[in-house]
Amino acid sequence: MISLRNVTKIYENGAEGVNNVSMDIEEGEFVFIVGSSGSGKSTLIRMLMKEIEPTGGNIFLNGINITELDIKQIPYFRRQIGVVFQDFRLLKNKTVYENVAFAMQVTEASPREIRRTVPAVLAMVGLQRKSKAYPNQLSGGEQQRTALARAIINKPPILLADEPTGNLDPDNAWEIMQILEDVNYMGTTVVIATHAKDIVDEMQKRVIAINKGIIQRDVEKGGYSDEA
Amino acid sequence: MKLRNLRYYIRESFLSIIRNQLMSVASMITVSCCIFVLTFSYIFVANVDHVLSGVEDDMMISVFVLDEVPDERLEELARRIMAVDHVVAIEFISSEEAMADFGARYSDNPDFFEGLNIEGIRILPRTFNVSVDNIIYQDQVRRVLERYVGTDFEQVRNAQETVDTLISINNAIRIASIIIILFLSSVSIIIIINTIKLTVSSRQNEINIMQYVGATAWFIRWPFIIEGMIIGFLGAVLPLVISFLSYGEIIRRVDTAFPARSDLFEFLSTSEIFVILIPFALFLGVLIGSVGSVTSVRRHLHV
Repeated sequence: MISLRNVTKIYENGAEGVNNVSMDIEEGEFVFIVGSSGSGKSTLIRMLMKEIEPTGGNIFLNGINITELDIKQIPYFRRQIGVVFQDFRLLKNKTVYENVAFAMQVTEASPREIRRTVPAVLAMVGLQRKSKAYPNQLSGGEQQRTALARAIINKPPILLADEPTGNLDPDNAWEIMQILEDVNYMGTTVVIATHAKDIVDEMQKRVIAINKGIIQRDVEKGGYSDEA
Repeated sequence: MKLRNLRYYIRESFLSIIRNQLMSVASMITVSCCIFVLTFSYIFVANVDHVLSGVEDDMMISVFVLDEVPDERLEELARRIMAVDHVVAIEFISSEEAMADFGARYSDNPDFFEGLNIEGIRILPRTFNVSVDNIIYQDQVRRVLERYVGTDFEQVRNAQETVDTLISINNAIRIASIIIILFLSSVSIIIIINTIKLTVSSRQNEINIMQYVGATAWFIRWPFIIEGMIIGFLGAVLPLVISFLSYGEIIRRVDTAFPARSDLFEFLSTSEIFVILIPFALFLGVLIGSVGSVTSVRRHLHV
């Protein structure tokens, strides 16, 4: 489903994001990409969502080389992936409902479809009673659950999350992870860049460890480090 | 653009105008100034045109037939005049009719008229009054007919000087208006470019999020373009309302000041003016807004 072949990213300032990375992620997998700050895990996520381009190599999603996508095809490609960020990136002037519906609006879904789908997804993330609240009236966990609802509203086959628990307390972090696991259980491939050691150790999923832009370890079920 | 998205675009555009009230109002005012000049000049030019067309009816070319031309040739001369480009109608005035008209004008001095009216002698020449399709062609037609002066016609006359003055005043107003409208349109467009630029930068976060969730470039662009159109439209409405409300009042005041005006010429009615002016001014307003917003979106919105 996701395949990276000799992918390298060198930023304009000369900093190396990733160096000759190759990996395969199959449909329905739940994968942690772990590493310290600046290790290159966010670079990988940003390349997968086509926010930045690799300097070398190819990235395939469902057999399509996304490095060769025409600029006009990018929006349609992005509808195939849901994205969650550490800083939530919600629209402050829109309610929870509107933030989630917004992701359907941009894909030109019908109002009827939006009215039917949004409440169901809000219920799934436990925010059905907060649908009229604005982001500044929500806790960090609730904001991230809103962002998660927005990411999954279009039923993307792939969900990318960049440090989704980075701004959350342990309880909220676990709630988010629980939802992500549920999403994965329903068939969505989930790729999470994180340095949340406790969570990775506890969940025992596939772990790809990256350091200084190079893959150090790739285990099918494991913890944050070799010992776990 | 899908119709179902239109509601979303319009809503977003209005919200954006409300968020950037100051710049939006500034943009609307410049559009209003531009449209105000347009309405003023259109009202003036249309009325002068109207007066000219009235004058046109009165200002025919008079072709005086030579005394020696027999009456049998008059039909042939009439056909020759009608064949000249831009001639739309001719009216024949016989010597007797001309005398009768002359007599009517000098009815207060019957002795003078009786002295002129000598049986068997043609005092006033037979005349063709020639109408042209547009007053600007009067001189051209006169020059063509003048070729027959000496052979068939005694003289060909028109009130060219008066016509020329009216045409040149009208043209001067037209040109001045076009220059002012072009200048104000440019100013309006520049201000709208900056208004939309501010909107784009204030909504950069939203634009990024839209991109993450798969919005197409046009889905992101349309609200900004529509915002410019709305600014242009609203900017055009104000001068239209002002001129619509004041036009009738101005006519009333002119009539009070110059009661003899209605004998000389007629103003166009409010409906005659605004049936053309309203769609044209709104179109120009929306056009100015669109050009400004499209330019700004091209320059500042990188999606």
